[in-house]
Amino acid sequence: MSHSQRHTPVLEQLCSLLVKDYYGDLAHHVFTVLARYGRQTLANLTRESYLDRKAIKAGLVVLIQQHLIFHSSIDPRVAYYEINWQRSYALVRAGSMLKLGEDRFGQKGVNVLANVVYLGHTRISDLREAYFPSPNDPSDSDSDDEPVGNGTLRQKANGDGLTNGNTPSQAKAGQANGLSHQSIEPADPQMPSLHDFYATINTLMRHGWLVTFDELTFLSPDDLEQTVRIEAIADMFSGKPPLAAKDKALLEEDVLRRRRLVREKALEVPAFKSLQSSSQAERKRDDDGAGSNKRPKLDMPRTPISINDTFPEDKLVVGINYEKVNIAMRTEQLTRVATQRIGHSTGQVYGALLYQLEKVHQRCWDEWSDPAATKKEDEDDHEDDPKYIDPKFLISTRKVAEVVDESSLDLFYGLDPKTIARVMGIAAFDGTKFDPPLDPHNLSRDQKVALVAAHCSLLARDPFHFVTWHSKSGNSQQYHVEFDEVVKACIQLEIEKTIQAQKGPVAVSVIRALKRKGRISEQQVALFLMQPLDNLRGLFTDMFRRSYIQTQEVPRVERREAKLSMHFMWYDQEQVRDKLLQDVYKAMGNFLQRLESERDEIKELLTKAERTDVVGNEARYLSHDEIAALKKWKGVEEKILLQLHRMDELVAMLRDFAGPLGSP
Amino acid sequence: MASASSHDVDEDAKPDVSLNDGHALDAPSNAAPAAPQPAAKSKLDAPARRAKAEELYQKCLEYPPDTLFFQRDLSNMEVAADMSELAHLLQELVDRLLLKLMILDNDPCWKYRSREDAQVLRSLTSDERLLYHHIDQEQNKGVWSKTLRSKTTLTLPQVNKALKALEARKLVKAILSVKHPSRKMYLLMDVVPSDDFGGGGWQNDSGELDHGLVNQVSEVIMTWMKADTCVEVAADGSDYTGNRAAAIARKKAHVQQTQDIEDFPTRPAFTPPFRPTGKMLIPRELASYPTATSLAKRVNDTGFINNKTLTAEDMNQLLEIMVCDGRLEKVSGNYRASLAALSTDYSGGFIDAPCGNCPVFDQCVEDGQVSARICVYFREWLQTESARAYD
Ligand code: SF4
Repeated sequence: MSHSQRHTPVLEQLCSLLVKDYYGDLAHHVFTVLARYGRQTLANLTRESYLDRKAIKAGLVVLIQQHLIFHSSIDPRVAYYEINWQRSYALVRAGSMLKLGEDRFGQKGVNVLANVVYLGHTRISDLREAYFPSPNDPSDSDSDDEPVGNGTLRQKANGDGLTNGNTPSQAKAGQANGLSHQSIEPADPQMPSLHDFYATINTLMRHGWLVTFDELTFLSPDDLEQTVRIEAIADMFSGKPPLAAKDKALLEEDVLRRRRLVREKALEVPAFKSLQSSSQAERKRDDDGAGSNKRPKLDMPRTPISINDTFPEDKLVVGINYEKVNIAMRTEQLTRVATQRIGHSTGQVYGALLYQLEKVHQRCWDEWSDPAATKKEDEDDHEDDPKYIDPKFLISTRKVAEVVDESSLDLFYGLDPKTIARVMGIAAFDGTKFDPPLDPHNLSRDQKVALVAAHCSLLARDPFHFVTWHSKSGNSQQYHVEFDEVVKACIQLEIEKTIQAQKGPVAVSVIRALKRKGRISEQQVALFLMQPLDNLRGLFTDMFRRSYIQTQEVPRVERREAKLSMHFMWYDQEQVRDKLLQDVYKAMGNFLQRLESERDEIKELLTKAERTDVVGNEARYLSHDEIAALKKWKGVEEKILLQLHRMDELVAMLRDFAGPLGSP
Repeated sequence: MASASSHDVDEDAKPDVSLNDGHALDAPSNAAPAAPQPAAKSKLDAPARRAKAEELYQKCLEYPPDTLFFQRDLSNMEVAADMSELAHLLQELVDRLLLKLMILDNDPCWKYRSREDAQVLRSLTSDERLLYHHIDQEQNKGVWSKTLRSKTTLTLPQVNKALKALEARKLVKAILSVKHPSRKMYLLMDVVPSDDFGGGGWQNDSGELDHGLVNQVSEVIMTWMKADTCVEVAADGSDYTGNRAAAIARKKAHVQQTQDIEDFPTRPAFTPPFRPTGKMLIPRELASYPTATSLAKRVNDTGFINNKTLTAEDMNQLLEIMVCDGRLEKVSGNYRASLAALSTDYSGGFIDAPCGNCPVFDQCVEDGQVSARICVYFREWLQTESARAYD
């Protein structure tokens, strides 16, 4: 099974609670049947469920529109449906996604993203229609009898099946960011012109946040694999599966290549005819990944577009690319860790550096990576250099210095005064003050670069190795980030923080000792930590029960008696990482259950408060106590949602930023 | 890219001197396949390479002996223009016995030898050099004299003679193994033996762990470590300017003026984190990292522990514990004071939620005896005292 489709009972429960919270009982019912029975046809679904075919279809439409299930009709006679676990989980991430999108693309960008989230995936023309309705809107709706799935790409932006009375609670978290999920207001003030509209979509696509969807996008990883395999066999071996080992290997390679191709195609951005007259230079600057030093500008020179103009790009179907969202989340979280470990300014420098690298990374880690991708054939210079790094992944301190705003950031903060004195070309530092005084907000270009380099050097010399020096270029330094290593260290940090909170500091020492020494006996652990073994035994049992350590009993004599055996123990980071992930899933599920039961408590009052005559006239219709209860409920809801968001950050760190880890 | 590589070709066309210039006096280069091998061709000619290698060596000498240099550290010295050049320089220094290549945790790393030591090594007899090499290969595990004999074709008297000579020149040392108390194990002088060789320095006369001693020494070490590897500065960070108020006012004006520009980073303006001591630790620009050997010597020289001498092995044991409990951190094999103790400022969404630290976590299931819907910990956390909080 594809790594992304791995799922466990706790994740299943969490996802079905999410679906229920967002899309109501009908979708939830279909979802749980699919979760229980796996990949199913419509006929089977109907059989396993108490609902009629029509209701199930309605449920499926919602789920497909939101990309929460895959559907495949490789077999033309019958379509199969299967849960998309990654996307289903990602429901909880929508709020963070929008926040990150807002940081990067501003109001217009986040407005489009919010609407795409709301619609699941959408044809650009439909999205445009929603923002700028054409005078004679032919609002035809999909017919009931159409096979589910095949019609989805043609669904209207304001299509049916989405609003089933259940306001998505997470959408409210989104509203805090100034978004409305309720409907798309025509002539949205956020989107003053059609030109803005196309420019925004174009920017989001070029940054990989929006990707194009086609029929292949709806295939599950396994179905996709099967589809491209059939193609490959047809192309390479004229339809007959190869038998020779060499041919088989060739085939596997080609299947992988085709899978990557599908993915790359989704990332391609066609030239937008709607923007063609706008200044090339503007676009160039924005295109230039590491070269662009500012947040992508969305206001480009206006080209008036008439409401009757249509363009080829209108036909594209787009949806959110969560792989890019993960990269943004990674930037945020690594920045936070660096800030905590080293200091505020160093963390900010790191944040700027990571942000610059975002555009050159397509995903945090690649399940289908191409082993040869790091080496380009025409650069045989690097053939046998395992340390060769594609220059596009390098970032110079000069580039970072360009984006760091010294007017709001004290670049002296967190540096050795000696370094500062050296950079600023003064000698005197009396232990507390510079003489003459220095102003960190008034620096020359070179001073700024040198200070940024000093922060990078702190990052490089930290045990987490946040950055790695690569080479000199002129008078600035080139760095790159060994993300796998940094993330691995961060995962270890999360594990240690959890164990510290649950089992105390000695437990963390035990983990670190085992991480360092590998598999050793309990006596050796005690010896290593200079602790009496008797004090530790209880802790060992406790940690074993929580699966933080593994143990093995090796009898020393024939009789198998615990007393006479050697007890070995070791720490397996990958295993603990997964265990912690499952625990967090479970806790998130608990939070959603609690949210639901808290909401049930106050259901009547909520219904009353949502009545159209009451909204806006609360003081008149609601008693003092009722208003207080509502306020209390708001607080409870907010607290639960915030905590869910923070647990999701932990899930991202544990699951999404790095693939399977090697041995500790 | 294309133009750059064509330029490279010109350089590469020069006669390659690095291959015939190498003079392998010592064996370590083949003992470590994991070490980065210089690409076949060097862009530097021999004199230039030698000069740069010399510069790199000089930079290493600024650190105390026994410092471990990992590739990162060496590249951070910014002598070599890139990784492949660095590999050439390192090879040159290893060939001249000025650097010693080692493997630690599967990573190659280097230690320097003084010029005198390198000279001494060059003057060894072939028997001595052979044994030295075998002992070196075993790193901190040590090697038994009998094993040495079986690994070489030397006779016992030859081995003993050579070992004696090596010991006399202070190149190797013999210590007793915990596992096999009757065996004499040989290690290189500068190697701290693995934990199988309990130093025994922390026991009191009756053979029990002397906690008082451990605490006392570790506190002193913390003080030294902080002083050697870090500087302490005022935590509010603005003292440098000498004129804080003016700077803040200007900053404010600037922020207000530029607020609508959609530039990155759009983060809140700088607020120094609150530190109760008013001080913060910063890693020194050029730290001299204390090592187990130097610390043991320093403790012994200070004489504050009575009638006891700590060995480098004892010290190593203590340092490792201090890493495990988070007081020290290890950066590429060197120790420094921890800047960030396992911080609980932002403890993460799991452990500060009720479930993260719940005694009945495993029993808690939907609709079970223990479940989120009726959970009391939740009620406390949400401060909805009664189940019917909204009445
Ligand atoms: S819901 Fe309550 S009982 Fe269940 S795990 Fe969380 S804190 Fe424990």
